[in-house]
Amino acid sequence: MTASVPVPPTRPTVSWYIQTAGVKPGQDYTWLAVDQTDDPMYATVIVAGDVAERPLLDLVSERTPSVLLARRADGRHVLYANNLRPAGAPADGDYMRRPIRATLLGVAAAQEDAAMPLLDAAAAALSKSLADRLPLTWTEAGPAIVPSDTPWTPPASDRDPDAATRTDLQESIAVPVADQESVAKEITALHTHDLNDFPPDRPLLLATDMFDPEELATIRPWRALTPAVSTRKSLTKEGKRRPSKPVIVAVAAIGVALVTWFVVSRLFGRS
Amino acid sequence: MVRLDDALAHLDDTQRMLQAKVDPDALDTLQHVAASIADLRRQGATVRRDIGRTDARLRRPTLTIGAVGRGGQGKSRFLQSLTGLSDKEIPAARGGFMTGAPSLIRPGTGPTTAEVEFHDAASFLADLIAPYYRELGLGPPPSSLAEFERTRPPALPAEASMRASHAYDHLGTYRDNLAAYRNYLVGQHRVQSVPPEEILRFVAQHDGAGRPTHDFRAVRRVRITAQFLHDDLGQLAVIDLPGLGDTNLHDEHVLRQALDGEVDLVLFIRRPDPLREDVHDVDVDLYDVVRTALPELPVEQWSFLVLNRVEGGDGDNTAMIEQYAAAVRRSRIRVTDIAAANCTDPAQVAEVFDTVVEQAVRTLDDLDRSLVDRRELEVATLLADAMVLVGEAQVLARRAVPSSAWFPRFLQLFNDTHGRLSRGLDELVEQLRGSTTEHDDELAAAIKAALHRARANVVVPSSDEIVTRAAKAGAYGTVFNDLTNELRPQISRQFLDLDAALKLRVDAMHRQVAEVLTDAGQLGTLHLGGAHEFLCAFAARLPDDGTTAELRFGFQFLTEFTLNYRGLIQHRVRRVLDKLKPDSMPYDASAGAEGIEYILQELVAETLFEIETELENLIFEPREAVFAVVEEFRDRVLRSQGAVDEWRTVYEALRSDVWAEEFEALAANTELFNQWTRAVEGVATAAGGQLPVLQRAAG
Amino acid sequence: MFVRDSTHGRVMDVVMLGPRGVGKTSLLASLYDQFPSVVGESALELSVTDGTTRSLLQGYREDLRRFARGGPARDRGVGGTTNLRQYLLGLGTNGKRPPQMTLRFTDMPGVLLDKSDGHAERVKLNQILPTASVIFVAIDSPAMLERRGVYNEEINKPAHVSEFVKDAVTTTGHKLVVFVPLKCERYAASAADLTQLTVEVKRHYRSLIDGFASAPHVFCGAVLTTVQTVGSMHFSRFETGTYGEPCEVFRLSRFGATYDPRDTDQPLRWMLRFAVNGFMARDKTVGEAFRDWWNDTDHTLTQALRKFGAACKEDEGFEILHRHPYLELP
Repeated sequence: MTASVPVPPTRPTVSWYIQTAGVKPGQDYTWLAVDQTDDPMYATVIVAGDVAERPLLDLVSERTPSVLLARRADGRHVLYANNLRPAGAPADGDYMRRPIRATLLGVAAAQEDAAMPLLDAAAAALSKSLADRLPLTWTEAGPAIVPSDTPWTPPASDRDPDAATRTDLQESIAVPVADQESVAKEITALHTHDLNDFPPDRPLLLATDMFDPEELATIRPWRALTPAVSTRKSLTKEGKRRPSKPVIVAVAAIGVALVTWFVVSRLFGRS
Repeated sequence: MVRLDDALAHLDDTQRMLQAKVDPDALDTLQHVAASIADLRRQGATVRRDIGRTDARLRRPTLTIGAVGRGGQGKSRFLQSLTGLSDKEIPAARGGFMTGAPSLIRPGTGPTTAEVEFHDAASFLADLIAPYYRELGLGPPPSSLAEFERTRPPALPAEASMRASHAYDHLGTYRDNLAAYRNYLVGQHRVQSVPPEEILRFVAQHDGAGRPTHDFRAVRRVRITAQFLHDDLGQLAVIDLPGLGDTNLHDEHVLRQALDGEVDLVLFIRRPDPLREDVHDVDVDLYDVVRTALPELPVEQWSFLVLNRVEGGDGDNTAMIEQYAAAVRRSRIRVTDIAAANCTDPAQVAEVFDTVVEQAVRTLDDLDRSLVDRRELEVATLLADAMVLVGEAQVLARRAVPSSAWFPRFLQLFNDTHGRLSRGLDELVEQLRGSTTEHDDELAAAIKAALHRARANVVVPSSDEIVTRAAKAGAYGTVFNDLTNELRPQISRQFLDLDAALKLRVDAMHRQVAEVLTDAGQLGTLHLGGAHEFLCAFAARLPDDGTTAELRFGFQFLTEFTLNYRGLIQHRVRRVLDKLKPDSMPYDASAGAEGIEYILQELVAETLFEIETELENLIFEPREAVFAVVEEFRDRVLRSQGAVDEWRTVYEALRSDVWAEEFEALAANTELFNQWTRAVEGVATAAGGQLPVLQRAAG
Repeated sequence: MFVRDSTHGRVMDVVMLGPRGVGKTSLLASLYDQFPSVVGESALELSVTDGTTRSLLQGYREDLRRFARGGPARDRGVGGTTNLRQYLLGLGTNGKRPPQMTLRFTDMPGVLLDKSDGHAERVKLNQILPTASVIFVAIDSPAMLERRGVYNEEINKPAHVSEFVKDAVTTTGHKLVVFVPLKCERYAASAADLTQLTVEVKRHYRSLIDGFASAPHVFCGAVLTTVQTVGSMHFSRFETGTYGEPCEVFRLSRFGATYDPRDTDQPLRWMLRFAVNGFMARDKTVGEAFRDWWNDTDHTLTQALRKFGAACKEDEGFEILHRHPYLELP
């Protein structure tokens, strides 16, 4: 087999990809590009890659609905929302009668303003309005994207420009699942500069049932939606700051110096 | 006798059938045999009739004495003296009366009674009218009264005799006056009681004024019961018969019929002329009529001549009595005895009558004995003739034996056909072998339809219904068990219809085999019906004498083969249904109505899936079975030892049907001659003779 | 046999292989379910340090238990896998941190077997397979047995799966292939059915199994273990789906049946036999040799092997298809 290298999208805004399955045994979960000109293979590269300096898949659950908004090392923002249940999916599920689910992946171009539609999609995913808006259809041949003349966009949300100015990007807050709507509002209130200023090693949004508060504190998402807390609580104070690299280097150097001194003094002391 | 006639009739039919198919040489023989058959049958009919007559005579309880005499000879007077009846009951010619119908007078007690028996239309036409047509050569007699009335008989040829002309006129009188007596012929009552004073109306040919009457024409006979003057005549009866007035065909015929069927003794009554007496032609004619009416008995043994002695007055003929008696003795007329009596004197009549009866009783037994001997002789002759016929007929039957002339040609034809038949069957076997791995679309469709029906029809009760039933039954466990017991037959019932699909498969196979036999085997010319009927009928025609044992076995094996639901499917369905037995799924109290509904729905669906699996495994079986049967059939009828010989025997017997244009029917058609032989054997058996064992026409 | 990893030390790769829907994830969840009890028989312990692994496998375990309850709701069991994922399980002697070895399970969507090499996850699978020491070939038993195996090609794709296994076992090293017919609840009751199942498995993977003996530089063992991942749910029938596709339907085996997995420990025991034997026979550094001597590790491991290895079954649905020294007990 000759490996064809997936092509990153060239569009200035967001490229959308959806992963879903058909009924028949041969129609397993596969990625579809919402815009026919995009290469669905690129989605597999994104999903297999890292966001916020971690493997993307380590941050989301395979079993339960998860939403992740984070930035890749190349500067592209990524939205990953899985275990969506599109209304148009075959009611009896797949041939094993398992419900057919869908994953939405949005990859923004690495430039200003490009990532804003991801915020709408994230908000819609949190408020459960995303699944039914996915441009999907199922036939005997399997799932397919509903063709459209205009580019697909996630449901738009009302922005609150005033709220944005008060955003504290340093804090990391765990929010109970029931508060999804408020988180959705907070997400859509973000500005382009908020996104650009946000530390690249932290996810902006992480909604999943996989982590307890301690684990979340090490990941330090700006907003974490999790069943592990019952009230909104800050993760920052519990989060342990990882030692910075210069500190590690300094400590290591002192250690080496001490050992060297010890060995040398022993050797030369005896002689 | 009847059996012989049946056998002859059958032989005659066979002969007629053969005539269309034989060569000229055989046709001569056949026509000769045909003539003999016709003779023999005629002869047989006569013998049968005579035996019937003799039988009737022997069964008669009374001794019947017929009085015969021309008009004016004193016959009626004699009878009146004997019976004490008057002119009213026994018409006398003196008044111009002529007896037109016979009257049977039996002795009895009490007042005189009479009943008239009329002809019906059929006996009228057969006994009275038909003889004229026959005698006068007028062609076929009319078959109905309407036809008799409508169609005038064809005119007599110009050179016809006087007698014929008279008879023709008589027939005309019958026809012209039909309206006058027709009612009696078609009336409800064949027999009618009449007061004694009315008897004349029915027996006389003229009324008191000499005008012709016609009622007598419809009368078969009149029976009178009267007190005879001598009461010791209990076992006697007398019958007043028409004389022969002129050349009256009617009278002669009535006389003959009466003599033939009813009379034991005849009394000729004759009044000799006082002046000059001799035996006249009319006397001889009358005598001859009587003599020929019962030809097998010598008339002199059962006839008496009573000479009517007129004493005193103009007609006194006392002197002539002896002379006349001597003249009779010189003539051809022979009677047992000649007596004389004054017919008006009851005492003399009684005395003569006693003498006659005494002599008659003495000879009557001998007469009967000789009659029976005669009948037996006739039967023996007939049977001997039949055996002669059998001998002649057998000559024909021998022609059935294969001769060297046609056999080589037959062998050639047979070998060709047998070759084609073998190839045809081999090809069919290969075709069926190939189809055992093919999908059986019809059966598959039937199975699919049955499953579809089952999935729609077999419905598990809802949990609500289960709750209701449990309330009635008292426990869910009971309801569960009941439901499984109800569902099992409900499911198995859905598959009964597969019988039809299986039958179609066997029918198709029979059709295919029959096609090979009728086409390649050229047996279609037998016209034995379609497919299964053909095979059965053909098998039935195979000889069961052991010469075609393998073929018979093969055909029986083939025609008796069936596929049905019971044999092929039922046990498979039942095995699967075990899953729906209560003991294979013990009820657990925690399940409840919904649990029961769930499990039953699953079990029903699962059972149907397994039945589907079983039936899918089965789908090749009918074709495999059919293939196996045809292959076995092929091996039996083609490959087994002696099978070719058996086919040759069969084709030899059928050769004129199979290769009709190749063989003259008679020369070749052994089957026809076997029928002939059987018909001849039938005659031989009926005739009671022993036939040499006929050689069967087989190669 | 072991890969050295900077964070996890000695890592043994285990791959769950099979087409869509045959039961790879269910098998993985069952193994995880059985781990504590099987390992707990010995002086070894299992450790899950990775939160993703714990929460996902825990979740799948619960899915299995829910499916096992059956009933009218017809819960669908473990959902289809959408992404290639790796799960890490530490295995070592009691109280030793970090554990001596890490078992790295790779689960994947079956569709990856059909993907082109440009697919990122397929690329990853291609990297993992040659390093994998244990390959579980998950097999859908009803598809193999029912209706004379008419659905087998479509569902189990034995020839296609065999190609992947062959690729994996052509690289140098010790390998174990475990054929695991799943969904065997219905057939386990009948010895004849089990025999037929093993016969069919051997028939369909014949060329693959025969290849184990002929590969010159590979020492590959092969085992067959039939498992019942939930116990209470029997295969009932195939139904025809909307597009004519065959749908497997399961039902409660009897009134009141509950989660009762059978023999899911067997693939695990064989894997552990293989792993521990292999671990003891590894090329040790001087430090490792010293540490093992100091801790008496080999003795502990041998004892453990004898403990959990003794219960390995080898008849009626279980069979060593190809022998390997690491499958033997010390």
